[in-house]
Formats: sequence, structure tokens, C-alpha cells
Amino acid sequence: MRYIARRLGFYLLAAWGALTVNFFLPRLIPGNPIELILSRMSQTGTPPPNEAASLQAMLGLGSGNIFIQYWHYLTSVVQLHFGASITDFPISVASIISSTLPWTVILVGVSTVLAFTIGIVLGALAGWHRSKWLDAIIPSTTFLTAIPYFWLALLLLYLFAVIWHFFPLNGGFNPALNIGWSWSFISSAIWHSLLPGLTIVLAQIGGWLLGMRNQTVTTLSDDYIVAAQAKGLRSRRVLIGYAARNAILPSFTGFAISLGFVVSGSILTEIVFSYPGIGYELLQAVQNEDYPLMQGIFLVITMSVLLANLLADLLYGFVDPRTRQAR
Amino acid sequence: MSVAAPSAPVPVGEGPVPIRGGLPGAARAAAVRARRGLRHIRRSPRMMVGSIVLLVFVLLAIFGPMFETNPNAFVGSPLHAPTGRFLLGTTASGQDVLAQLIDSARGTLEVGFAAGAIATVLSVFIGVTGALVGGATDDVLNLFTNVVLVIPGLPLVIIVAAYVHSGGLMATILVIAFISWAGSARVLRGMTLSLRSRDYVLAARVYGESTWRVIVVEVLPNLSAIIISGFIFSVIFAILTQAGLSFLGLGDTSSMTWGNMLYLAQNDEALTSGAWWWFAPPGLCIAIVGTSLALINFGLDELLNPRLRVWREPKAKGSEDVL
Amino acid sequence: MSQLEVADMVVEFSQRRGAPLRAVDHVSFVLQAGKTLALVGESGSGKSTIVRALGRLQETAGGTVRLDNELVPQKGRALKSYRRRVQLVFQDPFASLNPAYSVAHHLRRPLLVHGHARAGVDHDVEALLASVNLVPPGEMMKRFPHELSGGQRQRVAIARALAPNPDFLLADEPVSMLDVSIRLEILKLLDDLKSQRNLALLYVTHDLATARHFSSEIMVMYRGQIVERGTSDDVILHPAHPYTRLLASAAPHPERAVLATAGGSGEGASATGGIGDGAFVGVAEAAGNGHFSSLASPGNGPAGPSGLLVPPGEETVTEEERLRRAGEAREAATGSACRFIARCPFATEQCHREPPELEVSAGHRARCWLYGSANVAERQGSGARAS
Repeated sequence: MRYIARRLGFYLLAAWGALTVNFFLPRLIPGNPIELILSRMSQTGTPPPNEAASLQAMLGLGSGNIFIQYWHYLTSVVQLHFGASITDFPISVASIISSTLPWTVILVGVSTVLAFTIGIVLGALAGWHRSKWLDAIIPSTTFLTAIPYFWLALLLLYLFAVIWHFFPLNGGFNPALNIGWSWSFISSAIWHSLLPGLTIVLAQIGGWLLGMRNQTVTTLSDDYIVAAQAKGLRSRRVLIGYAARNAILPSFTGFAISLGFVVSGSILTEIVFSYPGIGYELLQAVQNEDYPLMQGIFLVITMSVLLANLLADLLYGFVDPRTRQAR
Repeated sequence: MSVAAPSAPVPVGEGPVPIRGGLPGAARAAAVRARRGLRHIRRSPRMMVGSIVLLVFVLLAIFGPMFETNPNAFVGSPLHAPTGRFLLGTTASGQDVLAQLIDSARGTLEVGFAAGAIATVLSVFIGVTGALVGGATDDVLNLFTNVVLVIPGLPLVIIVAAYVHSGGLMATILVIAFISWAGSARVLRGMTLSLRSRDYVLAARVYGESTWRVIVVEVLPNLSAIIISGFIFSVIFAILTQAGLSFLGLGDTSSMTWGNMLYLAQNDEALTSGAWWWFAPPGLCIAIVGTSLALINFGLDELLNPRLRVWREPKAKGSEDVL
Repeated sequence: MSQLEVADMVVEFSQRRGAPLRAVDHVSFVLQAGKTLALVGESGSGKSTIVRALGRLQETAGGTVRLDNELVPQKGRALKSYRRRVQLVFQDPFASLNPAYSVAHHLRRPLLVHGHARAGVDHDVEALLASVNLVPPGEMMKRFPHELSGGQRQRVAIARALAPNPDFLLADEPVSMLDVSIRLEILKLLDDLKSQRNLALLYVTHDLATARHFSSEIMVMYRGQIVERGTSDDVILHPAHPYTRLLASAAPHPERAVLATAGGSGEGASATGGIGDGAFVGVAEAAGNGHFSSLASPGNGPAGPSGLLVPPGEETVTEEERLRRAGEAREAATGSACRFIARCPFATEQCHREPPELEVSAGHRARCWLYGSANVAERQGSGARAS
């Protein structure tokens, strides 16, 4: 219980830190952003009378001194009042985010879990069979980790979509179809997600593989492994039940920390594939100087990463008996 | 001060001329370590390959632009495939891709090494100080480190870049440095905590060494490998982040980088027009520089942890030195 | 005549929850020039903590340290002269030398810190190396720690401790990490240095045999307290505190070899010669010195876990009884009872109060109710001094 409370407290603090950074950012804009935004909104529609106030709260630029502004900002963010988007006025930021977030969560989530699983399994095998071919390809995974995500995406896109016409060039689904729970839509969505997913898996797998391999090698020379082998246990059992079980623990911690990088990498990947996720939306917002949308997306990304971290931590507490005792 | 109560005769005239003062001794120790370092570089093929490749790129970045004509000049027909005259073809506006590639090496490495250096200084300062001072200072610094560590960096950089339109190269460097120091700071803190209570540190305190001397002379040299490794990681991270930022059109456009080239290529539809010679080389260069840095790091890791070496047939002559 | 006087030293470590852990509890002793005082006890008894507190690496929570009748501060500039006079030798020679520096660095620095001129410092470094028999010194000073053997490293560590020309040397298990074959050499070296330089030596160990051989007095420590002190011969040959008897009986002893085998469970004991945590193994040997009658519990083989200690005239302690006492041991951690109550075969009602140090004979004292005025006559009557 103590462990959970401590982690929870930490992530609340981290969330507060992110919110505070977010609060100070709009102050970097020269001029009066509220007037700027309102004038741009009025080009596409009539802003409701309370829009100025909600914008002020959202961007933390309301009246009063900085502490009052900060308070208004915090309360409006906690109530998920992100205001309206500038470019797509009067659609609210919240609804834009909620329509793009599932795409990212599914794409990134599935590919991350896949990359982690494949990387861990291959890494354990490479560490186990140190003289075999699998271990010999280890150095090449270094290359995989050093490749820029988005460039790998460009390359795959060029090969598979432009040259061989195997996968679709961009988008998250066939635009001729209606979004819904029809089989044709879902299969089209899966088909469109394969190439971006492949990119994310390829880009991430090297890190997991290497980490797990090194950890396995280190673990294998521990005495309890030698003892297990001396007992005459089958090597598969020693690998899975003894070595891998312990070697995987650091990777779990790494998993939590790397989630931030995964999100960063997938933003670029989405942009290359024009995938209708939150990363692509972020770029649109940046290019259109849609500040409320930008702020909202940043907060949502940060909060999801923190939440995922928290879950990974709790899972770690479950996996590692030593932390379990500490609770 | 009488030190001698020798029970064995002191050999006179043996050994080298006594070196006076502490500094030459330290310098000699450093020289010994440098020599040993070189030997390791020669022994670890990965480190060797990594160092050579990196050196080539660094030399290219320094001297390359001297031999090239203006990389932005329109010298040929647009989107021309590689020929003898333009080894890597031309851009959509007829610029020499190879010339741009060489010119960009400088900007890219500048950002990488500058941001890496700043991040390393930050991480050493925050990580080592916290662990040595301890108490509330350590708690606060450690908490700060962990918070920075979990906040996703790129989205933050994107937002900041979007707000600060014309920050220039320095702004990019600072922002990247700020999001990348936390990882190594955490590692350094842990290592310092363990070093702090080593017996040789305690022994130095017992014979009355001052605190700052204990830190600088007894602790820091033993952190050097970790600091170097952290620096290399920061450089890789900085190059990749800068490339991503430029690719989004959010980087500094005044100087040429590989990321900028990719941005321009993407904007001018290099992909759909099949101009692979335009968008492939910059990414490849980033990957190669990143790999060479990672290989060097790999070699360092092997130095620190001999168990991680990729298994090779044991050599016939059993004269492998102990580390 | 220089002397270091420790009075009522208390060291506490704060714990995450609950009261602080008292690692050293009102310990007093005196170190005198030219003499070796041995501090004996099992792991975790607080021996090393005393050394660290004396080396001013660990703050004390109470008590005083006086160097030649002058109060020694906890920290600050005033410590400098103290630091010159009191030096430490650490347990692990593999951890006590900085891997980044040559031997010369390790000896040069303490010389320079204590005001040695830079000119000619290497000459004195060589002299130091020669004094610990590291020859040829000119060659040795260029070596790096990883190029030295464990024994050589410990010699360097001793030379480093000698560099400020101290009057007091605190040696924290200086040989326990070394190969058995070179332990004696190092101890002999310390002993010689003590005589040559008129050092006061605090020798911390868990090895009773070497403690007796190299020191004039012995203190036995158990869970933060000194439970017995006296001249080496008194403590080793006539151990008074039940804990010391346990230690003495566990140590190999040529004179008692025959009796030990007769006692039935000597095998496990003499092999180690040191103190295992909570080892009651081989206690039956103690039958040899007349304090105990020994009864191996039925069903326990010769190498069985417990040869049981039974005081004269009492019944055999049953297995249940032992378990009950083990349970108490866990509870008794913070109580005001005697610290040894849970492991003590003689424990009585009286032992629920903490015993003071009681005189066994002149200069030989034990922290045990057995030596309270009421009991002493009886003990001596039963021939406690006979051996």
C-alpha cells in the first residue's frame, strides 16, 4: 500500500510539474495571444461571449495577478475545459483530442507491446545461445536504435507504398468508407496501420533486445542459475523459469521510462504516414498556430505517459517480489 | 616530520628520479590511463570502427565546407538522379545534394555535441551534487530529476519551438539539453552514492583531505567512464531530436542540418517523385553517426562489464590481459 | 604517555520506522601507547561502528572521546590534529585503495595534507613502503592497486595509515579478507610497527585466537555492549560471560582437542575457528573447562545443530523451551532485559533486568548477573577458576 501511495504521489507531483510548465509557455508569445486568437476565430464563426474568459483561463492569461491566473488555469484544466480549437472553430479541443486519441493509443500500444515481447524473447535467446547466429546479429541492432524513427518511416513508405504499391501511402483508413464498426472499415484501418506499426516495432525492438540480452548474460552467471543447471533441470526450464524471470525485471523499469520516448517517436511516425492520431494533430496545430489545441494535446500526451508509467510501476511491484514485500 | 622507521633498508638510487609534487603523479596516472584506453580501443573492434567512422564525420564537418562550393547554389537541373557530376543528384531546386550533405554535417554535429555537453554538465552537477550533499538537497534534486525523466521530451520541445519562433540555434540546443540530462543524472547519482561510502573515500577523509578534494580527486575519476558514456548517449539523443524537430519545420533554418534537408525533401515531395537520393542520404548519415557513437559506447560498456562481450572463439594464445 | 579515552560512546542509526537502532550502547575503554586492545564480537555487534565513530566518520549520539584529556570534537577544523594522530586500517583492501591512482598517490596525499613539503615527499613514500616491507619501494610506488595482491594492498593501506605518523592505529578486521596464509604476516607486521613506533593499537577481529596472541587486553562485544573485558589470558582461558564461553568453545584449541572430540560435536566448530552468527555448534567442547556438563540432545548426530549448554544442576533444556526462547529473542530486541537472554542457557528471572558490568576477578569484568554478589560465591565454590 505504501508503495502504491508513494508512486501515486510522485506522479501527481510530475503531473503538477507538467501543468506548471504548460502554464508558463503561452507567456513566450509576443503580443496579446487572446486578441490574436479571437480575431482569427471570428474569421470562421462568431466566438461565444464567454470564449475570451475560457481562453484566458486555459492559457493562464486571465485577469488578476499571476497567482489568481494560475488558480483559474488549474481549475479549468482539471475540469477538462480546454477551450475551442482555432482552426476548426467552434469544435472544442476536447472533442478533437477524443477523436484522435484512440488511433494513437491503439497503434502505439499494440506496436509497443509487440516490440517489447519480441525484443525480450529474442534477447533472452541471444543471451542464452551466446555463440549462435542470433548473438552475432546483436551489433546490427545498434544500428536500428540509432536510426531516426521518421526516416525509417520515410524509407519504408518509399519502398512499400511508392515503389511496390503494397501498402497505402497515407491516412489511417480508406477515406471512401464511413467510420464505424463495419468489417470493411476495421480491416481498412488495420491495413493502414501495418506500415506505421512496423516502423514503430522495428525502431524499438533493438533497445529491448540488447537490454534483455545483456541482462540475461549477467544473470546466467549467477549462482542460482548454475545450481538450477546442476540440478539437471532442462535448459528450457532454466531459461524461462529462472534466468528470464529475473533478467526481465530491469527491462520493466526501462519499459516505463521509455514510454515517453515511444510517444515522441510515434508523433513523427504519424506525421510521415499522415496517420490521424494525436501526433499528426499536434503538427497541424503547430503549423496553424492553434495554441489551445497545442496546449491540450501536450497535456493529454503528458498525462497518458504519466498514467502508463504509473501502471508499469504497479505492474513492476506485482512482478518483483522484493517490492511486494516493501508494501 | 619523521616518517621513517624502516625495518628494511631504503634502496637508494633505485627507480626513477623522484617526481616532485602531486600533479606530475596525477598527470602520469592520467597518461597511464590514456595509454590503457588506447590499448582497449585497439582491442575492441567495435570501439575501433565507431571511433574511425566518427572521426571521418568530424573531419568532414570541419574541413569539408572548405572544398565545397556554396551548397545552396542552383547548379543543375532539378531532381536529377546521381551522375558523375553530382554524385548524389540534385534537389528540387537543382542544388547539389552531396554539397548540402557535407555542409549539414557541421550543423548537425554542432547541435549534437553542444547539447550533449550541456546536458552532461547539468547531469554531473545535479546527479553528483545531490548524492554528495545528501539530505533535503538530494531529495529535491532527485525528485526534480525523476519528474523531468517522465515528462515526454519531444512534445514539450515541439510546443516550446512553436512558441519561440525565431530562437535560433542556441535555443534549440538549450531546449534539447534541458530534456535530456535527467537519465544520466539518475545513473550518476546512484553511482556517486555507492562511491561516497567506499573505503578509499573514507580513508581520504580520515587523513584529513578536504571535501572538495575528495570529490574532485577521489570520486570523479571513477565516474569518468559513466560520464563519457552519458555524454555519448546525450549526443545521439540530441542529434535525433534535432533531426526530428527540423523535420517538422520547427528547427533553426539559418544553418543547414541533415534534419533540415529531410524537411525540405519531404516538403518538395521527394518521396512521391522517387528522388531517393535526396531523402535517403541525410537519414543514413544520422544513422551512421548515431551507430558509431553507440559502438563507442558499446566498447565502453564492455570495458566496464567484461561479461557482456559478444562471444568469440577464445584465442589460442592465452595472454589476454586482465582488465 | 598518549592515551585515547572513550567514555559512554553511543551511536544510533535512524530507521525508517520506529526508534533509532542503537548500534553502540555506552561503550567505554582506553587505548594506551604501546599496547594492543582487541575488540572481539560477531558480525553486526557494533565493532566496526566503534572504529568509524573513533575515526570521526560516524557521528556519535552520546559520550565523549578524549585525546590526552582533551575533548575531541565531532567535526570541523579542530579535528585536523586528531586526524594526524588517529588513523584507520580498513577491512577490505580491495575497496580501500582508489583504483584510479598509483600506490604513490595513496601515500603522498596524507603526507602532503599533514604539512609535508612537496620536495622530498617521494623519498618518504619510499621509506613508508619499506617500513611495511613492500620492496623494492621505488618499484612498488608506481604500481596500481589492481596490480597488487590482497596482502600487498593491505600493506599499502597500513603504510597510508602510518603516513601522518599517528599515535593510534585502529585496525578494523585487517586480515579477515586476506588469504589465510598471509594473515599472520600482516598481524606480525602490525605488532612490530606497534613496538617500533610505540603505537596504541585497537585490533578489531572475530578471531579469538589471534586476539589472544597479539593483544594484551580483550573486550568482547555483543549487540552494542561490551559484555566482558580483561587481560587476554583471563578472557580466553577463563571466559566468564556465557557469550564469551560460547566463542571460546567455538575456537579451535589444541589443548582441548581430545576433549572436543569426546564432547561429541566438535567437528563443525573447529573447522571455522571464527564466530558464526548464532552458532551453538560445538558448544559441548566447553565441557572441558569445567563450567558445563554436556548432553547432546537425543536424535542429534555429531554434526547436529545443537550441542546444548546446560548449567550444572539443571535439567536438559527441551526443544520446546529452545523454541520459546528463540521467540523471546525476537521480542527482546528493545526491552530492558540482558541482551543475551534469548541465547543464554543460564537465563533466569533476574536476567530480565539489564546487568551492569560486574567484577569476576581483578581487572576482569563481565556484564552478567552470574557475577552479582549473590552468585559469585557459589560460582567460585563450584570451581569456576579451575581449568
